[in-house]
Amino acid sequence: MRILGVLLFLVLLSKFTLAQTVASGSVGVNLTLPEIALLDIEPNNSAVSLALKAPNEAGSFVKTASNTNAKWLNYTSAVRQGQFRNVTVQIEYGSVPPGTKISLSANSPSGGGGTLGTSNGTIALSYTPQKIINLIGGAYTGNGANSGHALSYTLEVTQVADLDFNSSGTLGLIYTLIDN
Amino acid sequence: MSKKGVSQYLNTSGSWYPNVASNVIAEAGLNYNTTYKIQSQTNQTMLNLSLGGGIFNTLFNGWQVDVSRSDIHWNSNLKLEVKRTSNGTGSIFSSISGGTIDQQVLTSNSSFFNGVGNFSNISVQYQISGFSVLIPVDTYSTTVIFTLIDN
Repeated sequence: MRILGVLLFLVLLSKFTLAQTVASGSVGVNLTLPEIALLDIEPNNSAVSLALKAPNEAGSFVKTASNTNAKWLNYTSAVRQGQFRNVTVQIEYGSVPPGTKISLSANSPSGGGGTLGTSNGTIALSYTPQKIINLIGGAYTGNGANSGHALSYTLEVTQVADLDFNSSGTLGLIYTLIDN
Repeated sequence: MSKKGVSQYLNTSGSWYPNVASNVIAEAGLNYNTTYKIQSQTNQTMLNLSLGGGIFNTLFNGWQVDVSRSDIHWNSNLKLEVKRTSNGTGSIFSSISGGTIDQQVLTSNSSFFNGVGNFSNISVQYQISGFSVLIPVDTYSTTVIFTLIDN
């Protein structure tokens, strides 16, 4: 009887013992995120036309031709904390017609998210890379036309005397998303 | 790695070191797809556990395993989830239940699964979601902690 009582007491004691941590183990999880740099011209890579119009009145002269929002620059950028990128443009092939210059400007970004870049204003195209967008951090612009930075091109006569009325040419441009 | 009592133990093996491929984003202008996630092997981590304390305890006593994480360097947008993918091996009196649906691993303990009796080779799988190019490029590290609780 006494033994049964002790056993009952032990069983009851075990039932009323509070839950307690008796052991633990651990494993590591290390996740590495990659750098990403993607750049695209939308809606396509077709040529942008800039043609000076003939004046419709004697004595006048049309000095500029523009193609506003002709293309859109889309990019995706994943960078380390504190790292930034920019977009440069340069002429890859072809030459600007004599007596003219061609300018390019990038608008403020539309859509997307993150640390999108800022426009560097208007630049005259040359064979040397020039920044058109600065300070891109971790960001994405959205995909397609009307997302990202609109690009506008302007053809401007700088020296009338150098113009060849029948001259035309094609320029190839390279846009590069590059680390600062 | 494990901490043991006199004869109780929860042994763990199998860390996870995933890399995200740099070509996951196919088109400039896009972020990671919101449904994108990476998964470990189904048996990425193996757990062996025992309450110890004699034959009665090892066969019939109930237990619970909690899970939590201790961050070394983590980003709060990254969602780490865990699930149990096998029952492992127990005795004829053993039982195991719960933990078979993905559940987020938080910095505080949450109940993962529970059972009765000793078990070995319980397999565990992880997945991570919440990716964004807005998360700085880096290696993010955390420790997943499994805690055996005697019920």
